[in-house]
Amino acid sequence: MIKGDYKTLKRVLTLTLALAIVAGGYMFEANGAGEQPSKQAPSISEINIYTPKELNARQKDLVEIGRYTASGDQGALKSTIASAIERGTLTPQEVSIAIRQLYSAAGLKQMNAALATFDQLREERPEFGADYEKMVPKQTGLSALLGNGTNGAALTKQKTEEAKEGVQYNTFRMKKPKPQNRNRSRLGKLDRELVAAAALGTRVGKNNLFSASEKSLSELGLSKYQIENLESMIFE
Amino acid sequence: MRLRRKPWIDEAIHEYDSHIILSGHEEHKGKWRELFAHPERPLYMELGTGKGRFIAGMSEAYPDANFVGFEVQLGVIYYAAQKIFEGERDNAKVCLFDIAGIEEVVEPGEVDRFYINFCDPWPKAKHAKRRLTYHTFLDRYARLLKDGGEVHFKTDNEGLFMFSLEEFKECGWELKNVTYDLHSTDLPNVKTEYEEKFSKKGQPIFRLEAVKPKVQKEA
Repeated sequence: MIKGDYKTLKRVLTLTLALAIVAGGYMFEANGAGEQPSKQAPSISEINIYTPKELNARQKDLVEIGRYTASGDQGALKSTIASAIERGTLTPQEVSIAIRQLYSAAGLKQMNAALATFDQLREERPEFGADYEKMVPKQTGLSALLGNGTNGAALTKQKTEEAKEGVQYNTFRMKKPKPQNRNRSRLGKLDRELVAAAALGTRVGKNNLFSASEKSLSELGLSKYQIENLESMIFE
Repeated sequence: MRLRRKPWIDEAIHEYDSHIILSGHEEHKGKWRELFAHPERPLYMELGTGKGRFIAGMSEAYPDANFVGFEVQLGVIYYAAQKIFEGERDNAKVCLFDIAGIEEVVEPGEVDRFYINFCDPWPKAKHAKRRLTYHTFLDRYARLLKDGGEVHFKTDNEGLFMFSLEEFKECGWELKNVTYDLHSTDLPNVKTEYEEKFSKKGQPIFRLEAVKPKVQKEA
């Protein structure tokens, strides 16, 4: 008899506990308490002690390059590039990469015009160094045997031009830098997004496309102040 | 620059005692200018003088500045002292010392400009901290330089130059006159032995000027 009571009491207690857990959980959800921490959590930029208030010098130069490429202001583009290289904020290779990847954001025509301006600048200012992007890759395999095709044609053209001007082909100088060295001067994802956003903003204005680009920049780590700075630079 | 050991240099170097400091460097800490006839003039230091063509040329081109060159190898610094001595330069001296310990012999804020020419690029990534433009070295230079002091850096190694650009920028130095082919500019330049050799082969010379950051790290 006592044994049976104990079993019943145990069952009742277990059921009560289970009901309390279920009801408690339901009430917690009903109050919206489960969602509160994420809603009330401060943004990353507020937590960070150091939040950049504006774009740095390198980013500003990239924005200017994107802006002038899209607007087609070749004079301003030229002076911006020259100043960026002299101040070391961007290397010539980085400028070249930044312009080359603007074909969709700024348009092919504008990109080609900007590249032509940069080439002109390089001719005027030889201290900006050789354009490694344009260098002819070493021929290997079938193309080396046949001596024609894209690589072969480019090589022949280059040699002909040099022969005309009487310039000796300097293999030591024309050697491409090693990949581990080249990678140091590559544009990062944020830089590429930034220059594209600047070109896009200049070209299409403040519409949905530009907002999407801004969101992407924010995800890549740009603070809201920096995005405001970007907007003020483009839409000033 | 590593040369074969020449035992005769141990004796011969004393001919140029007036232009070379072989020991007792700590005594000159904070007093490097007093070694010269005109201590009021700016003090420029070359880190890694080699055979001294640069320091001899610079002391001649800029008589209104005092120059001190540091070099760790006796067999090399002999030629630097010889050049300065034979050029009768009273505004330049060379010092046999390893610049890894430069803070032991130079007082903070004592120097106006550092020159680093064609230093060892230490191409392996694991040796990056030995490069003279590694951020720990840059912090040391910043402490030893006056406000507005500069570092002038020249190299033929593109990898080292790109690395240095990043390091200078990350440490907050302001860059100017960055060139990727120095010899095609009209910037004033005194060629080093190494520069002469490699530019003849068509190798471009990279150069930058960096101004000390306004806010600097504590030691």
